[in-house]
Amino acid sequence: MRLSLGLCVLGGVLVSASGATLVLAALKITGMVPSLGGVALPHRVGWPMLTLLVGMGLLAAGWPSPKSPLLQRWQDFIRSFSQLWNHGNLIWRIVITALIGHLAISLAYFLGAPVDLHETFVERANLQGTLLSIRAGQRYVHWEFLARLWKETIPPRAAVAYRGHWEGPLVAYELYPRRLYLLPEDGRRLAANWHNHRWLAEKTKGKSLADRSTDEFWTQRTIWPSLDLETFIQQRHIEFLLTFDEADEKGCSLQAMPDSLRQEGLKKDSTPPLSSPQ
Amino acid sequence: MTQVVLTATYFGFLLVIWLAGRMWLRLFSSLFSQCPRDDQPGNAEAFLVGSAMLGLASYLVIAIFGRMPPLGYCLLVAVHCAMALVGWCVARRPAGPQWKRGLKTAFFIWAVILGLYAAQLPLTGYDARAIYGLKAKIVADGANLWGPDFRDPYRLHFGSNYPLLIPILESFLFRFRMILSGGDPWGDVGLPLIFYGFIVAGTLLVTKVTERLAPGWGIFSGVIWAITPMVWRWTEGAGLSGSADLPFAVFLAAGVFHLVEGWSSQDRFSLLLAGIFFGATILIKQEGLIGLGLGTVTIFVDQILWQRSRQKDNTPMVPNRGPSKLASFGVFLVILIPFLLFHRLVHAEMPQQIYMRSYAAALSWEWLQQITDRPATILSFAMKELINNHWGLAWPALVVALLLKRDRPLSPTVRRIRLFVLLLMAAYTGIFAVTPFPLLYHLHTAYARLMLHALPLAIVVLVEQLAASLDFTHFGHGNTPESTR
Repeated sequence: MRLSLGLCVLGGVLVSASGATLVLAALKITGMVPSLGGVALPHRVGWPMLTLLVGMGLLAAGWPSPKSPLLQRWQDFIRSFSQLWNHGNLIWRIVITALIGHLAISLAYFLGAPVDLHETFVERANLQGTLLSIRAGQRYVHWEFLARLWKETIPPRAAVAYRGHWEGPLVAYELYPRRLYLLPEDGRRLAANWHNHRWLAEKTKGKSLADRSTDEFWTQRTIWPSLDLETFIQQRHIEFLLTFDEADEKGCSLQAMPDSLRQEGLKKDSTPPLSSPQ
Repeated sequence: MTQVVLTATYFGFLLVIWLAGRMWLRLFSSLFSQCPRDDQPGNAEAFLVGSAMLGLASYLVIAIFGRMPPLGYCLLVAVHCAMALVGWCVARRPAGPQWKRGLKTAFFIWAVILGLYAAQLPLTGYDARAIYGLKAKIVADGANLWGPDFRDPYRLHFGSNYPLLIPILESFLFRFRMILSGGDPWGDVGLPLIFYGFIVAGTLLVTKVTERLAPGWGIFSGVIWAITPMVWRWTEGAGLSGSADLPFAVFLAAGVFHLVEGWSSQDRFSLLLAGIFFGATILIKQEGLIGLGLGTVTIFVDQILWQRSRQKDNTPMVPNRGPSKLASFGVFLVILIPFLLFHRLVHAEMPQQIYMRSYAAALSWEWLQQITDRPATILSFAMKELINNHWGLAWPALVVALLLKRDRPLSPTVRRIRLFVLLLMAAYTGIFAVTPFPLLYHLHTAYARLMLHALPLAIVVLVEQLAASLDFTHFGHGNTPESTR
């Protein structure tokens, strides 16, 4: 009797707390009340919804003399489960706890998925709709925004020389059927910079940049073919030079290739490679 | 409105693959009608065989013409639609898990919700776009595989020499879009539906395999797999992100299960299916060759160890079935030939991009001396990664479950699956140890995706272990698990 009362009280508390959190989250998501007295409201609903379900489950498990068949079956299940729990040894209980944890984490993700999907679309719209954003004090230029402009300027099926970083293959995907190429010097620079990613440096607190010790060892063993730049460009019918710098919007440009060649801007790279292969 | 029509077409395409797969299963099973067979392939195998055979037929077109011409698409779709129609009318209903109505309803609701997510999403992953998506666009565009798109090392095309099965399947969707949507032929909204098909097939497969090894427990495996965030989310490397790792994982699990089952029971039909599934893994990812090698090693190492243990225990040897077993294994190898041939024919001569690095060229004594500190870094990263939320707690649960005392001995099938999972994880750890790419970069971008390859079988091992350590009467199941052969 005391256990049933305890379950009911605990379930009731969980239902009340998670219900209130969900109401606040709904206000935030719909944009009706973005913050309350300067305090940002929650916008994740996965865990509150899960807590609500757990609370309702506890409430139903402790409900005295249930009349509904569904409620009775639920209480039977809880009784069987507690018998099983008492029957098992410590390792078995740890496994079951881990599996319940698995269920909880996964369900929280599943219940939060509509909001996550909405956020994915909002983020995508932001990337395509604004030139740059500032995160943790750093400027991030959005290639997704510029891609729309590039598509308007570069004719379909044109060949383009790309000068940039690891977003290049994504730009190649987005701009298709335009063909993107790397000029030899840009290819070498990319090859020498596998360790150099801003997101990774941020995630590893700079450790990934130190990951270069073995990298240098490898890049120094690479033999690069020497190519005549003009022939290289002519063979591939490259008409444009597209430059993208994720950290500086002023470094982003789209130029017609012959002009760049005349200025010999391609032969001398403004940003020297971090390591020169021998 | 166009997107709705496109989505319906994409779903229809998945349906055609599945039904044509049923027809393929019927055709293949008729070749081995005299063989002993313990179980029938189900809907999961039908979808997987349908995808693999469509991919193989497309590879044939590519090998002949160097590209996928529009007529090639029309012919393949027409043939598969005809097969699907016959499959619908003639083919025997595949064996599936016997679920109660409530479970069927829950599965249906889950599948519909997941399908709705997949239908709205574009490709979100890096590899999904840079590697597989770009290839899909090039193939759908009818570009030549012997041309600069795939063979110029300076073309900005990430992993241009990677296998093409998934891009080929995606290219069908791009072709549908070209026909139905005049304005934007290269939009990718709804493309994750291809991967949705594999998530559902994976759920059915994991359920079926577990049910076979531990009757009554299949549903637990199915639920653990289906809800694991890494399986169905759209974050980098996860199931709906568009990365090829999830289809690879499902094919690999199906291949390993049919290989060990077929080897144990000398079921040549099962071995033929294993050959198709392993063949598909080779045409999906480069790790397919590793999987095939490990699958073969697993069978023979286990056989040798088992025979030795019997000699040691002075247990009477069973009659020598070696020649017959090897003949059955021949079926597995023969069906692999077209997959290996197309892999060799199409991809062998493709050059690597200038910014990629060769594992083989990196391996040297000098290099190995440079990387002695890596195993510790990998282990530490693995510990953190495998308790990451996007796995739920599946991996810790497996590790602890393996400590449970079993009430019954390991069956050969379970023993071999365990050995395969162990070898696969060890091989992948080895890859990271010798990678010519910076280690932290490689770990952060590839470790989770590679571990996904082992997840379906790891879940089977986890639930089978739980089943074997519990008295079955608790759940009211009187069924005996798979007998020890």
